[in-house]
Amino acid sequence: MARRPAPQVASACGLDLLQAIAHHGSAEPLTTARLAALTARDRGLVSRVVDDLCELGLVERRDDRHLQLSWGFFATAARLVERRLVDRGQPLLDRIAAGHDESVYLVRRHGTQSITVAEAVPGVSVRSVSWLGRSQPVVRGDAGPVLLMDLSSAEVRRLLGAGPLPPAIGDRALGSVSELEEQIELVRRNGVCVLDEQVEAGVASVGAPVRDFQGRLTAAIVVVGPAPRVIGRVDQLSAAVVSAAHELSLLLGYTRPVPAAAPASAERQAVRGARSTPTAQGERR
Amino acid sequence: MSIHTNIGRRLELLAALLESEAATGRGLGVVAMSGRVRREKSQISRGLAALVREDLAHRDLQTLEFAVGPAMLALAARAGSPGLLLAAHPVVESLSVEVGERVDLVVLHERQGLAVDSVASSSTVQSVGWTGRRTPLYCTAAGRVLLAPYADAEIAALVGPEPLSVAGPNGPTAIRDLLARVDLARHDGYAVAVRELDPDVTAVAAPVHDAGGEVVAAVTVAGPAFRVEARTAQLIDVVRDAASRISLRL
Repeated sequence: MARRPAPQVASACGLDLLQAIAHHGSAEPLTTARLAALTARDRGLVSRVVDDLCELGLVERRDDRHLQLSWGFFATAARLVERRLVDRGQPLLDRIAAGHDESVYLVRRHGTQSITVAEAVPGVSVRSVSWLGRSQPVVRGDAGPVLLMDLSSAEVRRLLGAGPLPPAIGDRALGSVSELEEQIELVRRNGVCVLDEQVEAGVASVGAPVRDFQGRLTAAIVVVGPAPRVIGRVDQLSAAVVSAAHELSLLLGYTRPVPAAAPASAERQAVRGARSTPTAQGERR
Repeated sequence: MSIHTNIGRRLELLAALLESEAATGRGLGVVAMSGRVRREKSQISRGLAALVREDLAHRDLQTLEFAVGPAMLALAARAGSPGLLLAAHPVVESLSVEVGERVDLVVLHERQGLAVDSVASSSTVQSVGWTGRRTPLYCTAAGRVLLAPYADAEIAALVGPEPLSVAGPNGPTAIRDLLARVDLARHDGYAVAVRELDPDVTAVAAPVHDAGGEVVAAVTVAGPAFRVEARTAQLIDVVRDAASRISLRL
């Protein structure tokens, strides 16, 4: 969603005043008089509105009379966004699970671990074990490359340590930090992460990043299922996951547009091609 | 609460939506809102409609509840000190990678320490989403770093009457004791709080200064006491280094 320009007509809710306070550079103090001049509003009115904004805890006046949106406002919004992530994420997971008949997870990272904070598993008869609240090494999770995409290469290496990656199931599993970084680069480029047995033999996943009002990567939405079923519909699942992650990001106040996902199938072909060099090993298909 | 302008009255509704959803996860309908702000329902409806028109609020068509809208969250992203948050985050993130414990950026707000950034570690699942948490100033390492620039009388006024209520075995209950600990932090340029806020938590903190040399925040590493105490000296070094790297960026 594009950020709206400041309204030309004086806002009935004082949005122009709030935006002027929000976007004032810190070069010189923003006093009430200056705020009135910036918004072309009556100085007496602005003064009374500012008193109200301070009373409501949205604005604070520093000792030098500079006005700023308050830390309290920031903190309350941060707590709201934390709650919304799961509350508003769940229906979006349910929608994908119902529409595509696959399991969907909302996953976050804490340090080297990833943790599932919400899940939607289709059907009732073959319900698998719940992942809710469970942690695993982030590199061995389906959302790994998405959750690491904002870290620099040096940070990824320092986070994971010098030793070998934690053990994995299957000979296509990511074997080194370099292979992981290849996947991270793909997520950065495509906005979507497709893992075909790189986490577990027989399992494929499609994941996308969720960002919050500060633009930070806060979670990943990831669809996980049997490899042939997921890879066979990879474009369709990518579109569903990217769109849900985008929708959730907007609800968390993320304002920058999400680039349209390139068809994941085309990108995958390119990567396969690149990897079928004499040095690539263990490519089975 | 005394609100005097029409704009103030509309934004009072918005502030109520913000508080409600942060506390309960739920928005508010007109009836619930009328229980919070003493005003006619018709007036509340008109106010909420005005907020929706400007994207400050949003109405859920299924529950008919109002919630905070995208324009309000865009403003929140610019609240407090965006420059500080921008400068600090990469450092906080990389310090957390380095030490493997939760790292917070804390500011002094309304006589408490307010975490305005936080990066969780592998070891503590609960601390994902620590941003926005408040802690006392007198029994935390960050708090003492933030109190250091103040005179004794101001500190006494900030932390409230004795005895100070502390949960950990080592927290100061007397102002006199607190002042001695703040003085130590002032002298050392860092603070350590050993099992003060919580019997099992030890923390280390160092001050972030703005371009004018004022203390604007504290960087703090907090973790299980046994793990932090096994390497306190090393943590002090890396926390001080991180804090001065943030200061340099301001």
